[in-house]
Amino acid sequence: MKHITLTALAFAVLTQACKKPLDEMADYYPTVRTESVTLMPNGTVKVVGRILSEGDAPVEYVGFCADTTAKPEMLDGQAIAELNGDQFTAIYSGFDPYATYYFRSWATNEHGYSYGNVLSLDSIAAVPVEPPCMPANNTASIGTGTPAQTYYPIEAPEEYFNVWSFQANTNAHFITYRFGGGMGTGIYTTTTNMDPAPGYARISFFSGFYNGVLASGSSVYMEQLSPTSWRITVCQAPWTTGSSTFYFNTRFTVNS
Amino acid sequence: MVMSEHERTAPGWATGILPLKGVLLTALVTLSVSPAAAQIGIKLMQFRPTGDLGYVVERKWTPEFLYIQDFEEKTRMRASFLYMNLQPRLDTFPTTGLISDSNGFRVLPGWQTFSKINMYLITGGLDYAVVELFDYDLALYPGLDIIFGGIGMEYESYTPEISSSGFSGGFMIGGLRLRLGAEWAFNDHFGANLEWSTATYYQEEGGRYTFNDLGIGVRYQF
Repeated sequence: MKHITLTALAFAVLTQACKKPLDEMADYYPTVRTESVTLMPNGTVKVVGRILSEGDAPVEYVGFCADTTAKPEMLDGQAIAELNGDQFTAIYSGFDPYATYYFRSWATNEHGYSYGNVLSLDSIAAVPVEPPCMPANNTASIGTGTPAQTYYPIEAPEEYFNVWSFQANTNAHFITYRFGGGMGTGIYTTTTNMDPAPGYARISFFSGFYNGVLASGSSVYMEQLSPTSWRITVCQAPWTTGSSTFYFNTRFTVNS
Repeated sequence: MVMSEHERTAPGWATGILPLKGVLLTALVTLSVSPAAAQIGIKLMQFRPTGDLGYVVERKWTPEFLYIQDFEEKTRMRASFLYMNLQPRLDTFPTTGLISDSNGFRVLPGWQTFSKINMYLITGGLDYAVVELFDYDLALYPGLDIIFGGIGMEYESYTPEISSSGFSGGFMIGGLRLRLGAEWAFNDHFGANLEWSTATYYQEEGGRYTFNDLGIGVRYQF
């Protein structure tokens, strides 16, 4: 019995003491690479990163940082991404077209964190958009037979959790616009999600008789006229109530 | 307003040399020079931290002072004292923290620096000569020690928006050390040995840490 106890004790000591430290400290941390930065047609930037090695422990978080300084730090424009295999992606928006932006990937594990290489991009601007229709300026129509109504002063957009939203009212409608990931020149796609992802928009309204949300999949055309001014156009975007489908049209300018 | 937060740092053990050191050193010296058991030794060993400890501190050559008997019987007693001023492997260790507030969920980059990491160990145990060759001059033996000691350290850590703190203090440690060795007795007084040991210890208010050591030593019997 004494020998068994001693053997067990010795085994416990041995098994706990055998994890040799890594020669290179860098090997404890993930190795990550910023693979690409791509300007999308709507003016957003798609950044792709890759985990080359997870280090001495599983990867916990991955993401990017972005700034106009040459070596962005983790908290500069931080975007946390989902790891898909060994790759991860984030979408950035809201750029000054006259500045150069620097993007750097990062990854963490239980030991700490490490950065990838820096990639830069300048002249970040969307391809100009041309709406296929031209409703009367500063009006909205929900398509139920009520004539197009004129907006009266429109709220300035406010950002909350990466969604820019504002209310634009007419005498007949209370319309809420929500844009994911920032506001810039480009074509947004409608969604019914309350928190639209970058590149998506949610447009909902209350008109007294109708509550509606534009169905998913329509286009919202946004032209950035200045750093604080945007022109928004929607053409024949369907929405339904009961078994009826109506079409929403608008064109107006919003200022911050 | 911070809704939730979490900070993580490198292994958090701490500092200070405890008064126990003096007491045990005195006991070791007393044992070594007493007429009944006047046998001393010194071993030059390389402290080789493993696991979490190996992430934080460098290997270190250090002397270990021994009270050690010869193998008149199959079993011999031994005790030792060693003190080390350990060096961190990095000037600044990267750490991370998590926060969820009105700005959303974010990963925060932090750091930790160590300005002092001292460790002293007092061991006591047995060796058992499983093989004795060349007219009992060569002995091959395993051994087991009980370890007591203290670890002292000073560090600073910082995680933006969560914490900025420093620590200076000490903790007791206790554990076990398992040993394999070979000893050659040159005569009735002198012997030399080569030993490899592996140890695990628990730290007060901390976790379990491990190290190995490899050393060559001599002993003298009065």
